[in-house]
This record gives sequence, structure tokens and C-alpha cells, in this order.
Amino acid sequence: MNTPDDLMLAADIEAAVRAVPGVAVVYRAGSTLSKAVDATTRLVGLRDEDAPLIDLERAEDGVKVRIAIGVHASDGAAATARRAHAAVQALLAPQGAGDADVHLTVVHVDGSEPPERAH
Amino acid sequence: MSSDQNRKELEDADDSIVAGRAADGDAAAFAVLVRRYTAMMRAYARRILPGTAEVDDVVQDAFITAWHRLPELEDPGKVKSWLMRITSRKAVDHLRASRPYSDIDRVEAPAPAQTAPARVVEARAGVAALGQALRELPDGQRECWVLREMGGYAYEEIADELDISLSTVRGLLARARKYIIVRMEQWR
Amino acid sequence: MSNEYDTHDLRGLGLEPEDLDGHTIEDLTDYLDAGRTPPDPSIDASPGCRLALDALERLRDLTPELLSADSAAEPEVEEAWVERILTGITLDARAGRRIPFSAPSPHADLGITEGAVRGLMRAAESAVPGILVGRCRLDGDVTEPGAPIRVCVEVSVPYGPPIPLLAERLRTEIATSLMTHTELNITGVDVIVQDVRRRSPPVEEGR
Repeated sequence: MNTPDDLMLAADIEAAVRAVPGVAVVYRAGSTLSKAVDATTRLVGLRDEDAPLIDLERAEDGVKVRIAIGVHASDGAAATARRAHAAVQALLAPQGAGDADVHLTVVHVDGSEPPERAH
Repeated sequence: MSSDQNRKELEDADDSIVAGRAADGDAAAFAVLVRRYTAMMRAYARRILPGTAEVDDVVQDAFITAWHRLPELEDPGKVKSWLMRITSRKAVDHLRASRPYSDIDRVEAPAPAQTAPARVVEARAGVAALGQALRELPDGQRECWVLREMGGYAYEEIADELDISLSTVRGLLARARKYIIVRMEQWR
Repeated sequence: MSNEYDTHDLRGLGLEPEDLDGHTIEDLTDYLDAGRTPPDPSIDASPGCRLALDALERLRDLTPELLSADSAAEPEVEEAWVERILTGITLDARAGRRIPFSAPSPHADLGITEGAVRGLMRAAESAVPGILVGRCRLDGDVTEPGAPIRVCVEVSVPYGPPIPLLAERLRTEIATSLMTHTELNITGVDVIVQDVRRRSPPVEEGR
């Protein structure tokens, strides 16, 4: 993720996902075990906290999006995940990225103990 | 159960439940372990480290390691002795970082006066005498004694941990025991 | 080697081999560690050794009390300290395996983490008053859709209500929750009681 356009797209995706009924919170995506920072993001001058929560990558074979969400217990997690995916599709298709790989993970279900602190 | 009540119940629950939950990722349960064992870990680290050392840094390191390695603990009920082990390892790491080249066998100078304990506690008179005697031991003798008698380490484990020979461990322990016994006889 | 204790009045307690009929403090410690078995007449019959052994044993008795006394003498654990520890740990290290949802399209990879599912199992305790969930396990290949999965939860129960009743309520709650939020093929829920809690004493003020 290096261009300002991509940063804006990531922000748009984040907003779209947040608006989905059943989604409680958007977490920082990417590898859950490594704290590796995107080097290009650093160069652009973004501090870690400003980096988008959505991870968007333009590879040769297309766009790859990684999303991590927390959902409300009131709806089934699978249903909410599918709705979130649909919202992302609806955003990407008009931009010609309808066949983007979308990797979406539910990392927390509300109504359990307090959600993780944002990192 | 309300979450306040739940929290109170967790505070009172067995180690195996609390540690099991923390191993699964419950930070509130881990906080219970922190509250439950900080004093013990501070006390133990304080016995291993010389007077001016940063005990809290060592204990914090120990807890961070504990959090990451809790899933590896086969029996969550053993978390107390497991935490002790991590604490001594961190304390010794800290020691070696600040004392890389000295010969542990030659560190004979008596320990500098340590700060008095935060609170006065009811205990058998001998306990205070023992505590005082320990503070007077040279570093090498004190470390071996604490790891053996408080940490339950085998002689080989002490040798590994402190990176010294087995015979050095036995020698240091013998001298430590002699000193302590004599000091305690004086106080009787 | 310093001999600072040589000048002290030992009240008959000598600790060198000449006082111990040829034995060393090391020998006596090993003997004590072994529970004084097999009996060694050369030690047992030596007054010097007996004196030293008694002193070693007194020392051994006191040592467990030392850690307790030291711990009690430490200042009260401050909430600021707990906060300091918690902010130092990365909370996302418990995600565990990724449990897939059936995908609406080949480019969609949807799933839920094992960590989130464990959170659900712990949350199930709110349906069973007094029960506390400890460790939770999902046995089986959760990453393989349709694979048989057995759930195992360790619990702490309050003293009083019949345990099978509590376990059954928890079992039902967990099964429902897993059915709502995952597509796992749950073959069973094992509830293991690790701990029975007596009624807690009244909460002290100012804790």
C-alpha cells in the first residue's frame, strides 16, 4: 500500500465495513503474530497509529485486501462476515477490482470480555 | 452474573482456572495472576539481585514472557512455580548483563546494605535472622543459595543458569550454608 | 577465602571436617536431603555432625517461611503496576487457528479466529450463575470444514448446586453459541470441573 489513492481506498473500505450491521469494530489487519511495519508506509511519513486499519496490497495478480473485525453477538458471526464482504465487493466492483482477494477475519465477538486494546 | 461479580469470582478462583483462561487469551484473568503473584516475584527477585537492582523491571520482563509462554504450560495449576522459574531466569539474565566478566567465585566482598523491607511482618524470629544473614552473603554464595533453597533448583540447573561449574556451585553453597548457620546460631 | 566466622563464638558448633569427624557440610546436606537414609553410623554417632545436622534442619524449616514473609513485606500491588504489565503485552498473540466460513465466492476468504471462539465459550458462563470457565480447547482440525470437533472446557463451580446440572446448562449454552457463530461440526462438549469454590468471604474495604 503506497499510493495516496490506495490509502484513500483503504479508508473507504474501512468506513464501508464499519457501517455494516453487526460489525462492532474494525481492528488492525495483517499478521496477528508479527508487528512488522510496512516499510513503504514509513517512507510516506505516516506514523504507525495513522496507518490504515485495512491492509491493501496491489500485487501483479490483482488487489489483495485483509480485514479484521469484531462483531456483535446479536447476529451470527458468519452472516455478519458475509455482509461485510458484500459491502467491500460493492465498493471495489465499480473500480474494476471486483475480483480482488478479500481476506476477512472475525477476531472478536461482542458480549465476551472487553475487546482488545487497539494497537 | 454481572461483570463486577464475575471479576470478583475470578479473583478467588483456583490457579488452574485463572491460568487456563489467561493461556487462552483472557487479559482480565492474566491481571488476576499479576495481582496474585507480583509480591512473591518481587520478593524472590529481590533476594537474587544485589541491593540496587531494578526489581520491577525484572518482574515485568517475567510477566511478559509468562504471557507469551502460558499456552505452553501443560498444567495451568502449576503456574505459581512456573512463574518463580521465569523470575529467577530473568533475574540471572539481569545479573549477567551487568556482570559479564567477573569471576563469580571471586566476588567475596560483602553485599552493600540493602534497603529495609517496606513493611514489618509477623514471623518467627529465625526468619528475620535468616533474611539478614542472606543480605550479608557475597553475591555468588547468595545467588546459589536462593536458587537452591527458594527456587528449588537442582545443582546442575544452578550451574547451567549461572554458567559456572558444578563444583563451584557446591563450593559456594557449602560456604553460604556455613555462614548462615553460624550467623543464626549467634542470634539464638 | 575469608573466614569471617572463625572469630565468632560458635557455642560448640564447628563446621569444618575436623569438627565433623571428617565429614563436610556438603556431606551432611546431602544426607539431610536424602532423609538420613540409608543411615550412616559415622554421621549419626558423631556429636559434631548431629549438632550441625540439627542446625541445617532448623535452617531448612525456616526457608519456606522466608519467601512468605518476604512476599508479605512487599508493598501492596498497585493498579498502576497491573496497568503497566497489561500494556506491555500484545493481546493479539492468542488468535490461534483460523476457522473458515463457507465462502460466497472464490476470491472471498472469510473466517473467525480460535481466540474469538474461546471468548465465546468464556462468555457462555453468564448463562450459568457462579460458573467460571478456565481453559477451553477445540480438539480436531478446525481449519477443515466439516471435520468433527470436540470441545473441552475446564470450569470452576460454586459449592452448592448439583454439578451435572451446571455442566449441562453450560454445555447447552456453548453448543448454541458455537452453532450461531461458527460452522463447526461439534461432536460433543466436555465439561471438566477443576475447582469447587466455597462462598467467598465478604469483600474487604479499600482493596
